[in-house]
Amino acid sequence: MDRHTSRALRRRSAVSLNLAAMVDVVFLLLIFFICATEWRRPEGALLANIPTGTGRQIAGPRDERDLPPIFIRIDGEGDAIRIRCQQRPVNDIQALTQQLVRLAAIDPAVPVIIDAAGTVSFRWVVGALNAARKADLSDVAFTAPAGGFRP
Amino acid sequence: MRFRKERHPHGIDFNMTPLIDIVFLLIVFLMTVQELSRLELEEVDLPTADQARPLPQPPQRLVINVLPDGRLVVANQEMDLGQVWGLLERERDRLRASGREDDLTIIVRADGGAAYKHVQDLMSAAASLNIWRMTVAAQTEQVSGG
Repeated sequence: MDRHTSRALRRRSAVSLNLAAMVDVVFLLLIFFICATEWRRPEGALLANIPTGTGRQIAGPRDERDLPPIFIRIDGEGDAIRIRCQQRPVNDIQALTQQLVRLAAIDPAVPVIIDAAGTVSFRWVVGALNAARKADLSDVAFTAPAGGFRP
Repeated sequence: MRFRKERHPHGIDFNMTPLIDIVFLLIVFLMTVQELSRLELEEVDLPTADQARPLPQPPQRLVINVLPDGRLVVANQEMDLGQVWGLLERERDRLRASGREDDLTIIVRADGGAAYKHVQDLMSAAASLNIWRMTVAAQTEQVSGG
């Protein structure tokens, strides 16, 4: 190889673009953004107390001026439900929230017991749980189903 | 007089492209692993709760999905209540061996349309094993039209 050819080759290689590496990086960026996209809806969690089959006492000895536990009963089937709070019928979850807020103003530490029928859609139970959280009532428990669990 | 024109001799020239390649590959790998670890989350229509806090990542968590018809799915595997009970018992015993049985948290991801009794059964099963930590998964945003 003479001197002229070798210099020409070197010059050409100096200005040539390395496409393979660029494609690599572009694809990586593409995959990165696909991965980074959040496909799912934002998800959260509500803490709850699991009931016991033996009837765990959820509240310790309380002052007699305090309110007795708030009892929320949800009856019905699927989404056709009736909500009762302290034996009184409540129209919907929003009304339940308002009532719980009023009760929480009297006694913020009052325990809440959610007693829902097994046939009710789960979203109403979560609705009641959410209403209690909204009223800043943190001691929420569920009633245990009759019979308990036998493996 | 002779000047050295090249600051680096050709042998130790620094090429950024493979470095960026590898860094990005690592990032994508880690993100994919994280995504795969979320496979335990089934596609269910979670109930809405605006008070829901970000899904916790406790070290010893067990996600139990409840489908609309009441079927239970754990880690992509469909199970009946007895099998879930067995799984919970094994997990509890495994943690009990290291004295961390109280760390076991159950995350119930139940469809909003599922009958409550399926979740109730699940709670009873957990209670029978003295597992008290449970969180209920909910979506924090209202679905349009829902």
